[in-house]
Amino acid sequence: MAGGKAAQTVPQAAIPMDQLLRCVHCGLCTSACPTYLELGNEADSPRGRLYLMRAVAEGRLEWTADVVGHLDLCLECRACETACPAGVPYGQLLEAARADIARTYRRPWRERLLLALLRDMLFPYPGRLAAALRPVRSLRGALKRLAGLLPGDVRRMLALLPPGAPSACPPLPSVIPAQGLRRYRVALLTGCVAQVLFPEVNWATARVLAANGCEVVVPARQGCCGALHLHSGAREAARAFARRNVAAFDLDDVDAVITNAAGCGSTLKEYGHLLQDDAAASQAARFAGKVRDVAEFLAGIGIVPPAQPVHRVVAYHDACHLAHGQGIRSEPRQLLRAIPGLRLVELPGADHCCGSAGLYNILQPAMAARLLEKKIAAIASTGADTVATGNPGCLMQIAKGLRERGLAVDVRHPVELLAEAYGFSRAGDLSTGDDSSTRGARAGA
Amino acid sequence: MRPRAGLDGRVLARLAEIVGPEHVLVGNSATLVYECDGFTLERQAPAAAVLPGSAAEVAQVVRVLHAAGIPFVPRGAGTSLSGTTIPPHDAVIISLARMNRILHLDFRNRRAVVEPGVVNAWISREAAPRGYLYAPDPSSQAACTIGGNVGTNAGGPHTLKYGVTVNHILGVELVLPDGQVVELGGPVEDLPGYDLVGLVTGSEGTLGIVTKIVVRLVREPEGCRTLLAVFDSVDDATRTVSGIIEQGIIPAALEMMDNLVIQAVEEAFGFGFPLDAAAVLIIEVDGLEVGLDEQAEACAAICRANRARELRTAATEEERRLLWMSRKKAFGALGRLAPSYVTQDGVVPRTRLPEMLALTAEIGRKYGLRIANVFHAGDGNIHPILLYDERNPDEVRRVIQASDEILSACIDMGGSITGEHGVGIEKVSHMRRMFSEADLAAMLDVRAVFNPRGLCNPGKIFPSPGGCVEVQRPRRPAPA
Amino acid sequence: MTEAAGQIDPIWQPLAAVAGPDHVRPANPARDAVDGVVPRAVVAPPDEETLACVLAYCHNHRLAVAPRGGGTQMRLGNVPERLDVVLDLGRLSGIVHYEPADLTVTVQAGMRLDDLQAELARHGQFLPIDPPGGGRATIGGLLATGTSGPLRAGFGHLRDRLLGMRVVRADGTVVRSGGRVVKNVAGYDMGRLHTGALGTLGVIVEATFKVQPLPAAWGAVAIAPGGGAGPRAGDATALLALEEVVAALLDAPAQPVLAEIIGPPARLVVGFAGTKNEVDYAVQQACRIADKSAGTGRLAATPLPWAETHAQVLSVHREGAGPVKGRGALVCRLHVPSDRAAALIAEAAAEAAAAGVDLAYAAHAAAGIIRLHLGAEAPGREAPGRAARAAAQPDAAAAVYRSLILSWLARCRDLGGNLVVERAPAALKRELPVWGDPPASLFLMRALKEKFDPHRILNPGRYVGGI
Repeated sequence: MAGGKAAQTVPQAAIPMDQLLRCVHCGLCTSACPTYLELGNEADSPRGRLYLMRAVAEGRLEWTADVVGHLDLCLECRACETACPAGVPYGQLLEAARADIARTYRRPWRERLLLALLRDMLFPYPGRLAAALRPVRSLRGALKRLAGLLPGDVRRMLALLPPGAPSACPPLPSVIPAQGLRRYRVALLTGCVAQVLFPEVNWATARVLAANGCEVVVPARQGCCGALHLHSGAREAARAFARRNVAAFDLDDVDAVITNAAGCGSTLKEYGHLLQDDAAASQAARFAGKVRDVAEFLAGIGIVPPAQPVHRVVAYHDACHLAHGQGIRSEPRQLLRAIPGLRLVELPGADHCCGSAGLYNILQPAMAARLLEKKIAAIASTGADTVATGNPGCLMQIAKGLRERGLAVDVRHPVELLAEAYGFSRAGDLSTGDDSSTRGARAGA
Repeated sequence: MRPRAGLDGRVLARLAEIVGPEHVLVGNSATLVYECDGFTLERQAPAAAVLPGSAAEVAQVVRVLHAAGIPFVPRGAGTSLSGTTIPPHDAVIISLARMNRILHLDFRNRRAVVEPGVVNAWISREAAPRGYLYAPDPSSQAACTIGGNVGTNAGGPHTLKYGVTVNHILGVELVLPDGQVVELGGPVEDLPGYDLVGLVTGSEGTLGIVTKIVVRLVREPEGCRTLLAVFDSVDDATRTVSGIIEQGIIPAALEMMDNLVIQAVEEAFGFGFPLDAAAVLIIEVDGLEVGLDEQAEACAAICRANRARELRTAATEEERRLLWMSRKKAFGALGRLAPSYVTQDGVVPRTRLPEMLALTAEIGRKYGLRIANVFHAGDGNIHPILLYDERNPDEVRRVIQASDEILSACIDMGGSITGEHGVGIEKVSHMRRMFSEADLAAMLDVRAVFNPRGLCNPGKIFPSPGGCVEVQRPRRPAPA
Repeated sequence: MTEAAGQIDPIWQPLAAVAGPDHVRPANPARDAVDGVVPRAVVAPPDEETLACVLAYCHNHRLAVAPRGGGTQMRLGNVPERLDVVLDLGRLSGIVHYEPADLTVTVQAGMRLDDLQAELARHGQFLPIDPPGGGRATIGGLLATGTSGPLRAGFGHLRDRLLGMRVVRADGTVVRSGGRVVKNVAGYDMGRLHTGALGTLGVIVEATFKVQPLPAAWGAVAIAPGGGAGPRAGDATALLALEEVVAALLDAPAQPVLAEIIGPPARLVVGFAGTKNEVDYAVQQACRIADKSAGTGRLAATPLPWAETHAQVLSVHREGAGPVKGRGALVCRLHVPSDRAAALIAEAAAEAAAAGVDLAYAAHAAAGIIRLHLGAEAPGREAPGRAARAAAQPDAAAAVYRSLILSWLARCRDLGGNLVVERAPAALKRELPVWGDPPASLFLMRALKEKFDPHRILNPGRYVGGI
């Protein structure tokens, strides 16, 4: 801090002041914020974080470990945006602040190493991730015994991995034809982490779209959406991913770009903003305008009523980036209600964050665990046998929590349940593979 | 001034022992966020903020601060619109945010026992499945806490029919400013003795810190009708309000929004308000289904008689919810029109509303300010919202002058300077205009009993420290 | 001036000088004594300013003052420690400000409730309070005693209608709090402090209320054991069955404005107000709920005309029922959680019967406030009860009452409630915990008294904890 005049080290433009001033300090966001509800510290509330950002922008404070810590603790669940009457673009402001922190604040080496490893080297690249996971999975038993010797971060990552063998779904073909009359042609974003850990969700998405008259194309050159980078201040990297994706999709050729990952979806929809000063700005805006979450799209076109009863009691968890990030709340519920035999029960605090939040559960394990504990208790209170949620991070996090509590509750993406109702039983029918292993949280698995 | 030992390392260490070191916040970056609440015209960071987790911890913290002569300020969600939680520079904030449990719901006796940090809306959320609710519904109810509601005797749209906070509080546990814990009132009605619960409610934290509250639960009405009446003139809208009250109709809520507010909330929530309307009234009647249409029609007739250009009834619960959300979040939505605003909270007799609104508009013109109006019309409780840019010192000055004129007009019309937001730090200077020195002396006598050293939330409500006010004697001298 | 003893009290002359000679008179022991303590003078000031001067005089000369309105509740409280002046507020009896279109009214404290209601009724409005003591009570008296009536179930307590107040402090200072508008949080709610304070912190001289439009219709239903296999009236079973009906009614859409358990014989009276349609619906609902209570025994519901029914409920509160009617020796009020009221009445009735004391009861069932009238004797009994036997020995009778009161107080205490002896012979009062258990906050109340009335001239000794 010595001699560091904040006004010099932090360019005034780094955090858009006019957007910050939209916050009128009414405090309506506080009770929506998971970290504030846990800690009660104003600095861990959205209003408090905006106040800190503003103090830095005005030179009253600098990015010190304390201040950065309060921003790091933000899940970026954006529940505050839902609560905010003044329309403060909190997510965008936080991203700007995090980019500013990345530029001007030197993090401890362990944090830097973790980010470099996970965010920059592993997660965005499905090939590398899959390669990395193969030995881990086969050595799981040995690793478990060695658990005490492993660093905490690694242990936590291992705990997130679904048990059992990886699903043997083959990669999606580049085109999946529509069943019956073709009504739409859509492109599918396959994601990076999801593609490796939940290939059956992509298959289910494709099958369900096809069953509803959609021809599904899977562009080969697509890549990571860049959300992890954007949320952790690596704005330039995020922009590079965005440019690549904008170029990878032939927008004239498709009616919509479909994603089944809430976190990806909310970032894809913000490409216009992310690349606003880029050569690809207009293309990016057009791309963003075509992005649809799979539930949003299906509910919008009206689905063919599925015939196969699915006898489950389902609690639906709102992924933050679906509910708060994209305002998609009723659509997934509507789809689930269309499934015969399925009983949808209301999950108390359904739109409270589960603590997954991208890399959050690895970087902020204590808070993530507190939020997960609440989520699991809420799920247990419903008596549901299945939790449905539309985001891979939430799928992993909730499954982990259920496993640890020894609760026999299945965790599914809503499209998986729809696929079941259209008669595609698990992975075997979804793809040409023969695997029928189950994912989820079987007790003792 | 009494010498103060100050917040030294020893006191901080003691506080950390009581609440745990992670719940004692010191240093510029930690305390800065506590320098203001929903009222931002004045700011002052505290010397420290402490976050106790139980009533026992609050009491211990208070005892330590009392012994050290350090002033302290209780704070809930920090949504006060009058600066009730702004600390003096050497004070410690005692945040009740961690004490946020609903301890007990007793539907048979229609009571709930809650901690002070419980958010207002949570009680109704928990009671709703059994058909009950907590009636006072301040517009900030999604975030404001019951402890804070007790402090300011909070109101809300539906207090027109259901009454304000004090009508719904049966008992409190109070930590006195010397750290003693005392139960006032209780779960049972009308306990003998002075009504200290009534005294503490609305005392803005100057009599102690409430650590537990027994509230009433109210049976949800069987049904309701929510009307939206659109007017081409503010005057017609306010005349409608007077007309409804005069007819002896007491709706559950009777709210007004003027054009500026309509613009802001429409942009925020897209309810479908007509953007060219001069004013809209939200009129809600509730009760038994068999009586609702009759009640609603009576209100509608008065609207039509006052040239309402359009009348709409919320057709679905979802539409009603959105309409109320638009109304309740209107303050915040005004953040879309200007970087800052200050909300006034004057009250006038309902018959004087048309006059008061006209005057407000005139004051706005005089000072070159945009003033938006969204308020509890049925109660005569106006909320002129003065929009400004805090970076413009001249505008800030004009805002203060205009606010002052508005409040003076309320007093002149036989009203009050605050209907629900409290005096706080903001309206301290207006108290002498509303009350005589003798009136204030009586209140200060009360404060002296509870808070003799003035350590608990100093500088609020009263214009000068206790003891300095001269008592007015009766005009005719009594024979010796 | 009828000077009984023929001597001139030295305080008369100065009081006459302050208040004006026409406004001071010597006390009439029969009418002006408070629990047998005869004041030295009765002063009836013609206006607030005079009243303030009288109080200042009393303050300076340490004269004990008992403010009095309609005099309907002068038996409330402990026997006065001392009493010099009864301050009669009867002349402060006007409406100060009434704005029907605002639904607010400001009245002087000495105005009788009946007179106020008559004026309000001319504009289709009323102040929703129905004191059991009747409309002779004054506004100031109702406030000072914190009186409520059965209508509180629907319209709340009088303090919930209070918007502002003027009070003369013990030293003669006139202070104002609140205002004339329906919402106001400027400063402390001093009006609440004086409400129910029995004039011990100051003399209420003026109050502003939020008034209510008169409902278009009223209706009442009596619910009582219907014979057959059902419970018999007066049974504990009957009371508990009625309690279930109360719970079901309070949980139903049509909320009663009055819900009273009265007896003996035990019955529940509920009342409704609103439009004709609403009241018809509510009456049907009440009958349906009573019919459905077959699980606890058959109850019969009878729709009744409002006015007579309401009057009858008030009369049970005022003078008891059955054998006690008009012959109560002692009246006490129990405050308990509402769901325990009926059970407590049943227990009290059993205990009273065992002690040979007749008992009548009337309870605000939704609020958990029970008024019990204890008979002076047990006439017409073949084997005289203990109280009757004891009648010959007053000390023994006192012991019976005392043990009953203490037992009930203990029950209330267990339930988080308390007990108040509203009325008892002065001699007996000295033996009884008139205000029940002292509240935990008594030290604060005493400190307030010390601030507001340092010389203890206002009703000394009469209030809670001997304040």
